[in-house]
Amino acid sequence: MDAIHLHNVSKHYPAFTLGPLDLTVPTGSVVGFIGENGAGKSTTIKLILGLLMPDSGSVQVFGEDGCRDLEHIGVVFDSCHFPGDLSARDIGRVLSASFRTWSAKTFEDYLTRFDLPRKKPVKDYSRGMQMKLSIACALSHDCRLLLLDEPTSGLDPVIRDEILDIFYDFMQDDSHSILISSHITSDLEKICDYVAFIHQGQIALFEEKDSLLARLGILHADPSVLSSLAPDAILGVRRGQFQTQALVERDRVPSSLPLEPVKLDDILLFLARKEG
Amino acid sequence: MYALLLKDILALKRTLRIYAAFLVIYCAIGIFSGNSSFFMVFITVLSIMLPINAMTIDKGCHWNAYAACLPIPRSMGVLSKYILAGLGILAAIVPCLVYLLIDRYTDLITDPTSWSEIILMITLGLTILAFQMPFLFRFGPERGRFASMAALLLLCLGLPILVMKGNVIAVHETFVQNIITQMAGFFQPRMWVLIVGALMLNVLSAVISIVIVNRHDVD
Repeated sequence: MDAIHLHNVSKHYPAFTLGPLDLTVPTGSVVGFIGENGAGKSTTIKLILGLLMPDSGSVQVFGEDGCRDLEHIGVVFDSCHFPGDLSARDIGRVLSASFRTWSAKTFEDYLTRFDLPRKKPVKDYSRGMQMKLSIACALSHDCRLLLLDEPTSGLDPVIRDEILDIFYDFMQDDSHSILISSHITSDLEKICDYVAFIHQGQIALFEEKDSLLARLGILHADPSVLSSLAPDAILGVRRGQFQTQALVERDRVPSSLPLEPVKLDDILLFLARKEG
Repeated sequence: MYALLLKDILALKRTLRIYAAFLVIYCAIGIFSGNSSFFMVFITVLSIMLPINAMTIDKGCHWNAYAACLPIPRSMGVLSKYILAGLGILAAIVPCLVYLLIDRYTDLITDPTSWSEIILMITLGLTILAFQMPFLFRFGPERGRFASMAALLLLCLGLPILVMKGNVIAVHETFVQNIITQMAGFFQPRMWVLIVGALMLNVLSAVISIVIVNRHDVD
């Protein structure tokens, strides 16, 4: 059973249309959701959570239609969604009354681990502290699926690394899954099993991360060399003043042509700035 | 439900402290001046403002999106706002009871508040609450507040003006001036009808608000 399964989901706005898109988060895996600003990452996560109603298609979470089992889903948004005057202790009280499986001890342990003051109003926390508090809240109940919308944006590398460690720990249980959206592809490269690239509301690529990175390469070559390759071997081209780069399928390029290893960042750039 | 109410109370800590201070201050003013009617109106208005303040805080920090991810039905989020205002109105009764007691055993109160006035004020508070809440849930706290005020004004002044064929002075004398006294006189023998009616209005209002919330995307 997949943790999340989206089938043919679409959502229309006056200036933007998401989908129709299909996306799967297999149980026991971390799926990185990558795309430029406004590509539809947050909209997709909101559709999964039932905050937005899709115009068409179906959303299944833990095999059920819609997002019903909220007791076992932890959510971290891109900013702290708690009222600023509440302290960590207040939030613990509110959430312990919300979740049947809330563990005050786990929450207390996270507050200690993150060195978060109990009585300080959340509005006086730094951004890093606010994100850590959000993560502590998401992990202090019996959570089997984490939905993370840009949880590391705006954080320094030390805190980001610390947060990624927590996600590693969370994934030690095979029944746990994560869908994480981020601009910071280096973070996703560290923890993801699968990556989904979204561009202008459409899933441009969805694949196992390691096989994707092994399958693709970057070719620096003259346009004449590129035109000699099969068109479907080239996933994207970027023309500079002095050089042309192409994102290509490694096994469809002659071995005489040198290829550079590709990073998720490169794939994002090629897909987002794809030329015809 | 308890969790959401607790969140509102904790988030409104500062407002509620001010509210409590006003309760004490106006209680004292009422006792020393011998008249409590202004105090009652003031506290009722403050109570009606509580859900607006809570919703403004929610909107500012996108709490609604977070709350929709908690294992609590959205309808509970709606009901908690009604209960918050209801608790505020109930709290306003306490000093009124103090007045009644002081009036009963001392001569301090020269213009005592009667039970019928208290019930009338609660009814008025509950009625305005029932009227404004669907607007707040539909349009948000800022636009919803103005929309409900405009609709209420239209209803309270527009209808009488229509009936009185545009004679504003007659409208003022007949409807606005002494409206509470007139209503008190009319309902005097059957005050319980007012409370039941206001509560029923709130039930209807809550149902409408729940439908509005369930039909719309969470921002």
